[in-house]
Amino acid sequence: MFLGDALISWKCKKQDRVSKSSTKAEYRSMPAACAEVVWLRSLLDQLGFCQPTSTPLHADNTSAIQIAADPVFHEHTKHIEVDCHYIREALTTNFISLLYISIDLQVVDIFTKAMTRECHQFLVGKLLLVDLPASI
Amino acid sequence: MKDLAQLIYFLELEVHHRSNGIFLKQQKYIQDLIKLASLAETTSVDTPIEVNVKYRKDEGDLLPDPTLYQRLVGSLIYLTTTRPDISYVVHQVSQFMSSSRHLHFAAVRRIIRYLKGSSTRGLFFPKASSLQLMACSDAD
Amino acid sequence: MEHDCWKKAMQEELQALQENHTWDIVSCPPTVKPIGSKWVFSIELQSDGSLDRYKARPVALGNRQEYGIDYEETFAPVAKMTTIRTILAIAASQSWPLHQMDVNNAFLHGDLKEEIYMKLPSGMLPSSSFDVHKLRHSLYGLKQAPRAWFEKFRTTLLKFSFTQSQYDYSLFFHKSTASIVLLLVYMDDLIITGTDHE
Repeated sequence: MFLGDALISWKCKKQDRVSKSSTKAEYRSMPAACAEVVWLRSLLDQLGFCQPTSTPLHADNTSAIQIAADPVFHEHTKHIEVDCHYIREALTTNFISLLYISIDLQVVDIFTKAMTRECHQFLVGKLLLVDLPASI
Repeated sequence: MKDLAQLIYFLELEVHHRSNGIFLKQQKYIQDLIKLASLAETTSVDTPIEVNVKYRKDEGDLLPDPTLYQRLVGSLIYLTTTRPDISYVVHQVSQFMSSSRHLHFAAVRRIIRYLKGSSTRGLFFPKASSLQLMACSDAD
Repeated sequence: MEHDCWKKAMQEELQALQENHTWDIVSCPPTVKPIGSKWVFSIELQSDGSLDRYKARPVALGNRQEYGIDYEETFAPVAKMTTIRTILAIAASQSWPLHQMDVNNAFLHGDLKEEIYMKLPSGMLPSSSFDVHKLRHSLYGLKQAPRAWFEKFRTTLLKFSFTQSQYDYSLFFHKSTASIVLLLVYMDDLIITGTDHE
């Protein structure tokens, strides 16, 4: 989660249910992200930094985005009913807007998988993790 | 009450003020961790975990004494405050606190060797940045 | 030389405690078993490793306290890491000054709700063997010390028109038309930032 260019929040969570499809797995991580966004928006608003628009929530799975956006999408959404409802509510109250981002560009990958040196370095840069030589 | 001083060290977090923004790092904490793990003389590595490696609960021999493992992982967990680049691996190794094995310990040593080569790295909060929130989510 | 440093630290601490009216010396009531205490010594270092000061504290042996009789609630809120990072990001972006404060002897400002009798380690302060210290303010080692202090801090801030954020109980702020002051609390460490110095 970024505030402007600054990275302020992240979380790795083990899926507590084994998902048969990548859509479901993707969909499960969204409520947690959603909850964090809602909390941060409230905190920022209280301090005088109200967010002018809905917060973009990027995901790289188009089906997951579609399920969230469309209340009558698929039978299979029965299993993730509660999560669906929560995300849809956040969408309708304009707290979040769901955006697709292609797999190549996901900065979140550094939190979900091991990677090669090049990929790792590239994403480190994107997180604004910088080397500051000691000078104290 | 003691006088007001500029914020530079709080909860073992080093706060560095620069003209372009604020840096947050835990370099001293990392050095202490390297000493605790007795890895001061080793070479560093470029990534915190090897690609295509999965750690399992029952693989390999149990560590005779898990306390060092637990201490190291405890410290690594606190280090994720300023080092999101080790979040994933620390999350992995923290799952073996109660039944840690040699393979898990080797993984922890690798993380620390990675930190050794990037001990000055930390979070940067730029000046005059927009304060618009943005989020990403992913599952593996 | 070091021995004298410790003695000095102990004397300074006792003096501070007495000035703070931390206790009254009373005869121990017959039905009460006082809790013990011991001295804890530490050396505080600065972030570059150099010496800051010698510290000595009498610490109540809180692990002998009984729940229900000696303490009720011990939970004290501590700031979430995300809140800390968020505040820092805001301060950086807005070029706000960032200050910190270590409230000296912070825990001694907390008021105690319960009656607690404590024996000081032998050798300090003249007293008969029947005398114990009835604590008026909380002392280190008591299980409720962090919470008692936080409560006192909280009520004091509220008196000064600060608001406690319901999104992070360790965050307090004071807003006026043109400015805002933020206070973030972690035990006895405070971060202070905002649009102007106060």
